[in-house]
Amino acid sequence: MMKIRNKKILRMLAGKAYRKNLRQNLMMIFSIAMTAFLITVVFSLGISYYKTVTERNLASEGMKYDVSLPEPTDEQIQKAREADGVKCAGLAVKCAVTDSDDGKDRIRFWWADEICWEKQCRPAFVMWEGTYPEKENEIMLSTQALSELGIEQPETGMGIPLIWSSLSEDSDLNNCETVFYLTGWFEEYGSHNSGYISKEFYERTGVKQTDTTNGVLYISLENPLYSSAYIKKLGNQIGLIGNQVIYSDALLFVKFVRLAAGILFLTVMTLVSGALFVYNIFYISVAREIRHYGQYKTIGMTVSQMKKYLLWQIFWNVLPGILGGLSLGCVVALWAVPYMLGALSGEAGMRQVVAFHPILLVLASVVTLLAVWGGCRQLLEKTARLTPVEAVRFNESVRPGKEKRRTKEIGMFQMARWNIFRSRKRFMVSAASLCMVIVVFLVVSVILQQNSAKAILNKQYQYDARVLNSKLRDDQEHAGITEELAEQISGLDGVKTVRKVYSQEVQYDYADTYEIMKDYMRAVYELPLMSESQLEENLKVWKNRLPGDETYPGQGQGRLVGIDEAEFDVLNKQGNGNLDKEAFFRGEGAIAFGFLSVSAESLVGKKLNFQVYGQPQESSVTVKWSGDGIETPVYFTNDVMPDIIVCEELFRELVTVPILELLDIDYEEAFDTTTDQAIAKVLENHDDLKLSTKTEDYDLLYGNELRLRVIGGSLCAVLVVLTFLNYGNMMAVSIQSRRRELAAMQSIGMTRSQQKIMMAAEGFHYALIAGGISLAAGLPLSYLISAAVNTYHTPYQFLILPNLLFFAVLFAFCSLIPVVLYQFLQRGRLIELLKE
Amino acid sequence: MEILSARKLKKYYGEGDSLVKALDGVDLSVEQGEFVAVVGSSGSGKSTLLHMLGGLDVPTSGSVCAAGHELSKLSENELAIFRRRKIGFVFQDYNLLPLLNVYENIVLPTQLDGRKTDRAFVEELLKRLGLADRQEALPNCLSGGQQQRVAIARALAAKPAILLADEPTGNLDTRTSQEVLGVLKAAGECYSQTIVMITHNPEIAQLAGRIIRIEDGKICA
Ligand SMILES: Nc1ncnc2c1ncn2[C@@H]1O[C@H](COP(=O)(O)OP(=O)(O)OP(=O)(O)O)[C@@H](O)[C@H]1O
Ligand SMILES: [Mg+2]
Repeated sequence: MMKIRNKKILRMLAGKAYRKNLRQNLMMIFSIAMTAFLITVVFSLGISYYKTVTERNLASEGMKYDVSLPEPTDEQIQKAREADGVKCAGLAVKCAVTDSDDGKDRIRFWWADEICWEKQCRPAFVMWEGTYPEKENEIMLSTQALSELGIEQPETGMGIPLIWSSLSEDSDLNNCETVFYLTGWFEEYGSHNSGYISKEFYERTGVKQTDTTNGVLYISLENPLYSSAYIKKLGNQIGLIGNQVIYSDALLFVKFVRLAAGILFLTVMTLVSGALFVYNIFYISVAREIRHYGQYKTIGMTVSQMKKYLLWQIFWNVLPGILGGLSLGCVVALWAVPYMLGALSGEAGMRQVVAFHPILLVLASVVTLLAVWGGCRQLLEKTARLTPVEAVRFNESVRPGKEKRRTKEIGMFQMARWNIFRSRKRFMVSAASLCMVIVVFLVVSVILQQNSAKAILNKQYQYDARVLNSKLRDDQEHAGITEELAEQISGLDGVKTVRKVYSQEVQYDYADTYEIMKDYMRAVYELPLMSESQLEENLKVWKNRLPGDETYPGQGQGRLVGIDEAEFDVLNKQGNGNLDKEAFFRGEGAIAFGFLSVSAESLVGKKLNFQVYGQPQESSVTVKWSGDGIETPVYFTNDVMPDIIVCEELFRELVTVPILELLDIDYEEAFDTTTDQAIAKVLENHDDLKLSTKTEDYDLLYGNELRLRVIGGSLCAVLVVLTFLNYGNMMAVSIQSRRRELAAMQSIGMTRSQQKIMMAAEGFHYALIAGGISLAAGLPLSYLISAAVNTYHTPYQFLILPNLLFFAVLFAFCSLIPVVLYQFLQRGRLIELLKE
Repeated sequence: MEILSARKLKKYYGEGDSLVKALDGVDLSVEQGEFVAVVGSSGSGKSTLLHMLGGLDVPTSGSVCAAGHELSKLSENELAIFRRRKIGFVFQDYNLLPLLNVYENIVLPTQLDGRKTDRAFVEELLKRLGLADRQEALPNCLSGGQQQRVAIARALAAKPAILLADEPTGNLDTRTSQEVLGVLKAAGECYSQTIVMITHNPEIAQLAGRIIRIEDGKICA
């Protein structure tokens, strides 16, 4: 009986204390809700991203599978179905297409086996109706295909006349007209315009599952997070033939790990901030009430009773906090985020639905509880065990460090510095979170800069504008670009240099050059979809070619290129100045380029014999330099054989009618649209010349840049919000616990303005310390990270302006927040404050 | 010359049943250089009166005029400046700043005002209050009596026109009390300061030039 009454009294006392500290408690509810909310959002973003990665095939292929094997044999299909870790493997064969005469999209006819249809197609449909076709003239069409045909309200059994052609190379089924009867329809993710037909029809088309690009075995795995090692093993189990490969995302696992690490980082960050938040607020409550606790202890409250008394108060905050946070999280995850992602990706129909699962809520609650527990535990324990005497000395008030004691003048800054170091723990956590935000900002800003459209374009484009003789490939003698034209362009305002590139197709001599160049040939035929037999055949063509034969396409062609000094300088810069300019312009030799994995090193020192089109005699040059690491300056290449570059003079010697393939134009100022237009004007009447400018691609890449900006920006924003909440909270606690002291200063004549200056000085110090540390750590870190993720090989660049701005804002915020908090918290009558 | 005066000063706390009339119509006038002792039983309103005189709290009604300033007309910032220039206050519970050492606590009001500290004077004060060798100690490490003496030193250091002391000898033994009072009186005479001091000790009250008795928020005789 006694016990129950005890409990009641504890609860009543706790209730009184709770109401008295309502402001702190509301703050605590808010902070718990924030934590629960952020965790919910982070988790749901995480699984959504996970789903987009693992189910990317859904959007791109309209099918649910993990990896695919092109052109499978029956035996391979059987083996695949029996292989370890394979959930199911379904075969689909693309066997016919409709003819498109009026620019409409073609409809592709697929045949899917039962497994493919049941396990891989149907689950991927948004919706479907009807049954799979059985008779030869039955068909099932996607709603996209139907609406393309003008059918908005399909009915089963309706007849649809279609003209189609078989995809089999040996078949003569072209432009066949058939009336198909609709057995059903379905809606796909993405627009693939597909139709499914019966096995009978498939057999009629003569297409085989092993035909190049037509048959595909779709494999669903038990573990969608496969590693490249697993794919290798699977390949061995299936027994790949020739150049056959399993199409998979080699980086899938890495991507997943990266994602998991990101989520973990954000979760830990949120958890730590949440815990800190709770700690700080709990601290204020305790500090305010500590005298009462001392009294309770004096009159005989036990440690466990004290704990219960405190736990009740925490519990009343946890419940509404978590509930509020989770609901807000759901709203954001289920509505706001999908909306934002959709708007960002700009791809209508893309599956952007945020994945959501009730288990998330449980997880988020658990993490939030952890944060609350982490924030309260120590203080709870300490408070419960406090002796009455200790309770009186609860406030932190020891001056830190062993500074020189005899100070003649105590400046504001001095006091500010002492104040921020009063609670080392609080200082460390707040400074650490400030540092983290600054470092993340530094790194993100560097990465964004690195991936900015302009940086990428400046790296990728070796020119600001290019004039291309677009007919050159068709007509070897078409002299679209004249020397006068080049002169005219170089005379335009805003044009710095015009670099001239001549080129000429040449035929390499089989007897002399095959041995030297066979690596180039081989490299091509090692690509998937190419075969050994094709190589043999093509070699035969080259070998049997008669001198002077100019039929195209042939084999063994390459390009001879002539460049001027300006162009050479650009190339030499790319090659880190490894080329000997003087020797090159004395005409001592040529630069040869590699191909795929073939290095041009193998050609260095070799003499190449070739014949220039339209010239009867054979010519030759010696390769002196390898073009590895340099981009070929020409637009047209004869895909297999190497491009050979010589100086303009030598080129004129070798080719009787030198023709300009292109002009590379450098501007005084990059992305200068006025110059773009001026050049376009010059080329107005030249249909055969194509102008491309760096600016054109800018818009395209800018979308990408924008997306990155939004992602990086949101990351920074979340962290900034967290940090400033933390910081503000820490300052609030700091002020709250100094209320009496501040009042004492005021009573002996410190004005409120002076106190505000002192507050600002404290904040400024924080910013100074955190800023200093993070600059020292963040700059090298940003360099390392940017070097590690530099996909476009753009140069490292630390942007002064945005960072300066960021620091200005940081200092302003750090200094202002304490002032605002002071204004808000240090109110009331002086004499009352003195009595606290 | 009148330096400190209160007219119909009232301070009420709470309302209705719980109304407390801490001060209930106090009229008071103190001449420059006077040494006044305020006595009265506990809870009679002594501290409240002192707070009103020093501009630390706002009366419910009535006015206070100190060193030529009508206190109700000053803004918060002006009041703070008024306090550090004209008033030295010794609190019943000292109100020392825990972060500053003894010396720093003492010179803070002068420094807040941007004035130069009279170092010789401060040294002298410290010596006479028996704190010379505790200058660099933090308040937490001092005994109650030592803290009280630091509070007194702080009040005197800026050489204020008016010294308001709330039981400045409450924590001191008789001998030290006498010494401390000696310091107060000497400083008062030297700089012609006006001293208003609350005390429970009749012996100490006898040292004052005038004794004011307060009961139930009213001055009686
Ligand atoms: N903030 C307050 N709220 C309500 N009543 C108050 C408040 N401050 C003081 N009082 C009341 O005003 C009266 C006078 O208080 P005051 O502190 O002036 O007494 P005192 O004469 O200084 O007593 P002591 O000698 O014990 O210090 C007391 O009855 C006290 O209870
Ligand atoms: Mg009192």
